[in-house]
Amino acid sequence: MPSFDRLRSNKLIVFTAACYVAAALYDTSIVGESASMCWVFVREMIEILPPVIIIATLIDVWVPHQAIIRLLGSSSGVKGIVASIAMGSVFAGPIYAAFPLTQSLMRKGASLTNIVIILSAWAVTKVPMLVVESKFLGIDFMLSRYLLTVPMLVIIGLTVSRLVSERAVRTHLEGISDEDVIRLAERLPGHDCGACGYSSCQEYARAISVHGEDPTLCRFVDGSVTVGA
Amino acid sequence: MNVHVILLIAAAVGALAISFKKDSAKTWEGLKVARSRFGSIAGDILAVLALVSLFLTIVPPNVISSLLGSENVALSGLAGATIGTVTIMPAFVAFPLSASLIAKGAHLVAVAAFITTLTMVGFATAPIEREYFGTRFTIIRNVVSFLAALVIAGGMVVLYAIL
Repeated sequence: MPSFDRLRSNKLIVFTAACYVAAALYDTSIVGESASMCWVFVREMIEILPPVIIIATLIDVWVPHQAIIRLLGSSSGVKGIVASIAMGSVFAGPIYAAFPLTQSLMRKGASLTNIVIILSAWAVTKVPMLVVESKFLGIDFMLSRYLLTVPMLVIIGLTVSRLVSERAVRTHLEGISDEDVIRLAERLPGHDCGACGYSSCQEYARAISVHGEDPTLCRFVDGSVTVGA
Repeated sequence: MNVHVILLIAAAVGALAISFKKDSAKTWEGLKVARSRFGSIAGDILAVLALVSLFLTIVPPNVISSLLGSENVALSGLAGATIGTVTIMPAFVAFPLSASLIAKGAHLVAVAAFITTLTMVGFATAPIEREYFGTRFTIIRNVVSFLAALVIAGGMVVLYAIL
């Protein structure tokens, strides 16, 4: 049932739409108010996400594995930790923007500990936000929060990498490799005819790669759509 | 637009220019990957942002500030951490909001916990994180970060007194 699978792979969007319909039935003014708040968030996303994804992709294309392994790999030690804190702190932006970048770094050989440190530093120790924080909450507040947070970043990184197997995360990364989606999409005709139940060939390629959709649904391709063929 | 956003965009454009100079075919390939990455995640992120906006609209700010300003410091710290967990907001919105919460009587510990979990722990962004790193990683990273935020908030009481 491809259409059901589409619904499932977009369940977040479906759920949100349902919430908005429910809210509108209750009181339409809620929808207008939250839409105008949402616009502030969306503007930030439009400004930050594309450049971060471009940088992540260029790292994929150009930076050699050895360089990342040396800087952030599992034997990078204290130097790797310091580099991770520094790297995470330079960026300011919502944490969801950090996922594509850290994922690229991990594919290139950064250790799980350092990935978690970069993610956390990205979230809470933002150098560009130092001034804003002390302006609104006072320099004492800002300083004590930073002094406490920086050592906690290391503790968080070490704890998470003890509790989660690095191999399991790497297997997951291989499973949803974007390159695979692209390669699969290239095997498809690109008519976006919708006969397979997906709105575009790109969507169908993604469903095969990520959700293990049946690869024989395309009527223009004889047999299965595979990366190797 | 903030300075850091301009710097970020400049860095991406600069890196792209260098990449094009070195190998334009490879760069086009890369841009195709970037577009698919953006397309595959943008819908989910928009859904999350819309959901959080709805939540913040329905829960009025004075409910939040009364939760963060309760007599019991530990309890208000926990409330701050929890509210920060279920919502996300840009830092440039969060800091002024925190200042107004303090003005309304919210406890400092609660605000520190709120700011830390707001950005580091994401109930709302968990579905996106799961796509990237898997379920187990997402659950454990968020739980560990939540506990760390409580430690940070607790430490604020001590440090703030000394400074």
